[in-house]
Amino acid sequence: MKPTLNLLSEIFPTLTKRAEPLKFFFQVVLAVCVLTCSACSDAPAPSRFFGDLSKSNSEDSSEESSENKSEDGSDTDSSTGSFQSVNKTTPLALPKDHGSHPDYQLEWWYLTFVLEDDDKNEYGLQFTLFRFATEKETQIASSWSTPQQWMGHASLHAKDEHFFEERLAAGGVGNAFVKPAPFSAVIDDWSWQSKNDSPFPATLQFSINNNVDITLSLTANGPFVKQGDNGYSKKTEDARLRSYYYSQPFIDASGTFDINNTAFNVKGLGWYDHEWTSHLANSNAMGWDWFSLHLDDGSKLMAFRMHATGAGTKGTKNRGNEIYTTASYITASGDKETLALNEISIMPLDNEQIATLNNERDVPTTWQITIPSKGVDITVSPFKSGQWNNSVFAYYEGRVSVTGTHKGAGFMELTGY
Amino acid sequence: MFAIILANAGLITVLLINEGASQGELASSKSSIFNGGTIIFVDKAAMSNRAVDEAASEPQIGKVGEVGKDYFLSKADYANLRMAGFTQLVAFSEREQRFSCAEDDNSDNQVETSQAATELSLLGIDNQALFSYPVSGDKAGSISNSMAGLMSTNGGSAQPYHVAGAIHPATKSKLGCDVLFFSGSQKGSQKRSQKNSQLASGDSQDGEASSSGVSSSGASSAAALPKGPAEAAGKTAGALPPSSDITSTSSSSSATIVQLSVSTAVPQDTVVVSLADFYRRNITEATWPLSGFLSLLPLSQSDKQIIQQRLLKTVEFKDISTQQDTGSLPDSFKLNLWAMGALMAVVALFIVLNALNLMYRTRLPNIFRMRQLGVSSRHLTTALLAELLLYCVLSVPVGCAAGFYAASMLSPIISGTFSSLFDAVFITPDVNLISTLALSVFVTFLSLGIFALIPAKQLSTALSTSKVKAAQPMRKRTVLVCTIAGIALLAITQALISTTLHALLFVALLLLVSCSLVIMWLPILANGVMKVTPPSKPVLHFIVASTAQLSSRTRLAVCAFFIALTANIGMNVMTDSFRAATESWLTQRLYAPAYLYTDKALSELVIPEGVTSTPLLRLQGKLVAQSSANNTDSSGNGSKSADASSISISSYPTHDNGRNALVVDSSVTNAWAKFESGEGIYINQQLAFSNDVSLGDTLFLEEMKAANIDESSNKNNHRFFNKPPSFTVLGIYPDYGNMKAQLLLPLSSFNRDTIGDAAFSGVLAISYDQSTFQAGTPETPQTFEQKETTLATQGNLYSREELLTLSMDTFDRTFVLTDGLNITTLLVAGVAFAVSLSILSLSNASSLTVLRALGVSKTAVKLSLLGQYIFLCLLTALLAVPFGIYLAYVFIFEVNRLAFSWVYPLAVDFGVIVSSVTVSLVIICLVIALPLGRLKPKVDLRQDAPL
Repeated sequence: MKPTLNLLSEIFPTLTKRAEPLKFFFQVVLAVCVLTCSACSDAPAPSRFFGDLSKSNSEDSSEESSENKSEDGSDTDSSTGSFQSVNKTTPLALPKDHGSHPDYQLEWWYLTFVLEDDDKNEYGLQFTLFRFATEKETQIASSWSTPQQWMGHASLHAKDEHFFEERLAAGGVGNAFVKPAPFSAVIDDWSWQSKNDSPFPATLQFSINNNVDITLSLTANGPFVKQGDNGYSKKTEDARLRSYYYSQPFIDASGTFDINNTAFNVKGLGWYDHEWTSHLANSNAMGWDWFSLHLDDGSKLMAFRMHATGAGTKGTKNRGNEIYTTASYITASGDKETLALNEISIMPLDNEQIATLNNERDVPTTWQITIPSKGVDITVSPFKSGQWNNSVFAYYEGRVSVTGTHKGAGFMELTGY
Repeated sequence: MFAIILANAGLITVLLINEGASQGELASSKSSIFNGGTIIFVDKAAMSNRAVDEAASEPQIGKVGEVGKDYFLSKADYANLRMAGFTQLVAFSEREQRFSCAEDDNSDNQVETSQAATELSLLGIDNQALFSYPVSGDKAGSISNSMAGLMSTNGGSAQPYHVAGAIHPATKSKLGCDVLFFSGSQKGSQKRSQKNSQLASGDSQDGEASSSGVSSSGASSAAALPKGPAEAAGKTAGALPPSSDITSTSSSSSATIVQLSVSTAVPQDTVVVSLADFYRRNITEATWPLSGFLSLLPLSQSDKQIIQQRLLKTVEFKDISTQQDTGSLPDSFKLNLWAMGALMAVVALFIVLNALNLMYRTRLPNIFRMRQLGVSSRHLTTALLAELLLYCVLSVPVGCAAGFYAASMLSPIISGTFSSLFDAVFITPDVNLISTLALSVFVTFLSLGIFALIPAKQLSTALSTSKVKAAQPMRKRTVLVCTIAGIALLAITQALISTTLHALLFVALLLLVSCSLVIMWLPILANGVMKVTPPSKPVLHFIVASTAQLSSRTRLAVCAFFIALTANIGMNVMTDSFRAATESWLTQRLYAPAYLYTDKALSELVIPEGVTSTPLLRLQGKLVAQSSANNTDSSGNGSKSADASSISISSYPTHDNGRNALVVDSSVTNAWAKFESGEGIYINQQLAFSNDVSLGDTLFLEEMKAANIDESSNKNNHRFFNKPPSFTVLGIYPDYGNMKAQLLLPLSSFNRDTIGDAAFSGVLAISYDQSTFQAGTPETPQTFEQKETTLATQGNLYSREELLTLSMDTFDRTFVLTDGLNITTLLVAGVAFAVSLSILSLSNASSLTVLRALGVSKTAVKLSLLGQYIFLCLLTALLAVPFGIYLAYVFIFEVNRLAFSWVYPLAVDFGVIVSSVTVSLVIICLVIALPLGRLKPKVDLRQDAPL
């Protein structure tokens, strides 16, 4: 035993912290960052744009965060370590690619719905399954689980209520998986079950915190849309960050909600994204503003804007933080056109103060999107305030309404704030 | 400034220790990963808690144990249940493992062993599932939050041989390191695993373990293990490469390094890692099956049915529905801790006040001069207050730091928590800890602000008054009258105590009165001694005389020291009494050689031949009325309606062992015979005190129901008993730590056929007939060991000694903090006392010079000074002893009785008191030696202004 030495080692930091109470807090935050980052090193932050989320979760010390990140993440470029990389020579192919891609570091199956009940009450619904893989070199075989990790997010926004639940599961245990034929995506008792090798038609069933039971029938009435260049989607101009990405924006959804033991019918539109990559994990200096919009003329718009983080959200009102912007304009018949940077403008109009678990965040939640070539000049505003998912990696995800040249509804995801 | 540091440090220490207490042992039952219930293959640890109701404080577990012969709960079962919506279930597996502290070196996997190996339980849990829960915001959420250290991803950390682990702060502190490693050359063979293997061998019908008698094999899943012990050891090794890699335990890449974070949700002596890390290399489900599933939330009856159906295996649900009552022992302790905290605050206040007084006094000459120079009084006061503020700002952080340090040293829990706060990779910002700090800083500023005004006012009065009032020594007669009045006041007040608050206020009053008495008596005592000291010995005479002089001028310091010492003695005497009472009570009460704790129904238990078992049956009832024995007092109406208070009714055996084991405080004549014949009952102190029941009273109970069935059957009381029992109180027995009112009925009164199973509490006293010890006799169908095994498969078998040790360990763990508290209080008071004395003695400089002129050596002068301090201390200590004992008495018979309705005999151990006094004197001596060494008897007389 060497209690004395041990005590000293405990106390010296104590003394220094005591001397300056702020430092103590700082230390706490720092350690939270370290924790977050260490988690990220194995499994990058889970959202559509992962890289930044560790940051958004530890906003008070972005410097520490990025320092740690760069130590962990040896690839400042787009190297993928032991993972498969995304490239044009291996194009995305359906239905084969509906399933899981364990050789890639990250993957997600993302469903968002804009629904309403018989009384025209509106709802925003999100169901997401994330998969992360641990670097093979660091993984010691375990007979309990595979190097895969699963995370499910379910979020329901009613006008004055928000239900959110997060599920985590280890791969290989058997309670979380995505299987190709018949397509099924499962984590615990949340299931998305199709009868064939396509994700649609399917039945989606899940509950949120034992308060909400959701059963939806999903059918697709349009084609799958391969985003970017035939499914090869750049996140930066130089394609350093990129992914495979396709969507199904033409989903009709109908079913029942049971909220606090009150059941009712809902129906509306859904949007499905499936994306996988090994190239986003270390893009920690960026967040993204992502939109999927159902416009009233039957067309769809997917648009995202990569932005630098840490520069303060006030600055987002100018384009100074913008790194890369692109969009896909999809006609009602399913024809897609990828829009270049000069063809689209995504500008924040107004910010919202969102009180989260530990602090208040300044998040731009009202946007103006203009696509002159398509005659689109719309304002995207949130369905309600505070659509924040307080998950392990917190982010903004919520229903939006569209006004301007087009009317419509959709979803918006904001990370890096 | 020093005083502020000191006071702050002391206060912080005590507050932190309090905090540590609530975080540690006391809290362990509140949030634990095991709290919601567990589905376990076989488990012992949990059961140990039920061993002794009163002393248990470990987490309690409801569980489902599998009894299928060929099955274990598997990964597939787990996935099946989770996909069916049982997301509160978390798979886990447990094994014993020897751990060593490691000097972690992240660059490679070289590990230096710095300590002998400690055997801990390695608990693998599905951390992914655990962390699915935080958003629920319930208890389970707080558990997973507190275990955020395990929040690494699937498969642990980036370093191949590094895994993240969580550990209880107390265990971590015991180990004394942040990084553990384990390698495979050792294997667990604790009692716990013995039991494991006993049970496992029974359940898995792997006859080998029991027939070969290798009950110490840590490999409880013997069924799947290779037969050779060496190989088995290798398998047990866990996360290890093949054994060929193991060349040395001190430095080898084969070791698995566990980075520890702390969480109070982890059971003690356990390291929690993710299941992915648990099942590495040689350890697979085949060699070491899952121990079971723990449930983050309690499972309902319908949940259990569904689980049963889903598993398609025979699963036994052993559900301990309610959490184990840890009893009022922790509460009692906590109350006393708070009392100590309050005392410490008082001590701290005195210290600061004293220091301020001294400071202004010594500066008075300078202030005079400044006033003479035309500096206005207002300016001076402002300047002094500003100075004070500066001191505050500088001292408070230092004091806090010192307090932290002291607390870490004294409290293992705090130490563990701190190390995690500042060293570990993850942090649980402990809100309580931070709020404690904030509180102490606030209190310090506030009290300083208030108390700075008093000396400042005095000062300004002193400045404006031309004449300094001389202290009038009180006359002996006045002192005597005051003393008698004070004691009378105490006596009267004590008689009036009726609530816990009163009792606590009385403690304060007691201290106040005793303080003033000490202040009055100290000069008298010192003068008395002075009179008997021969003037022929100038140094000795000087010592005594100077003491007498000092005694009237060091009131505040004396008060602080006195309160600390009194509290110290009181606390020690109380704890000591409590321990002694508990131990003797337990020793007597546990009459059987062994106890079986089981979840089976009484009728299902298989009791081997030659083993006598006495079940403990338990009913719940409501006390609706009671009638007094002597009706004459109670205005004609013999019965009074009591508030319907819930009472637990326990069976008590009427055999000789039972009689010998029953400790009673008081009883009617021939009580036991009447009890045997069912003419009456014994009640515990809790019942007696809270409902004011005395011997011979008759109690009326209603709504009696068995613990295991919910239906109220108040109309069918007769079903429970062979004949309607009479509830006449025959005796009152102590029941330490029990929260509930309880009464004992003879076991024979219970109708075992109708309510045996329903009322069975799960505890069975086991005694072996003498004949069974003759093992090997052909007629004896079973050996002693076999019987034991038979019993052990049905639950947890504890020997009397094990239970006793377990209970006393719990007791000691709970009260270990007391030492820390005592030392802190004493140290702070002692230091303050010494400092103020040494400053005061400056005013003695002229006398010292005279002594030097008389030819007394420098050493002798210093010794004489030391002597006078010690003399003063001794006098204070002597006065503190009776008050300390009185305080202990008040704690036990007033505070404890009113707050918890039970008392224990006050045991005044001379040794305890002597040690308290000695420790305080030693502290004083040590502390004084410091300033004394620097004191120069040759003092500039010009500085010596009269005050």
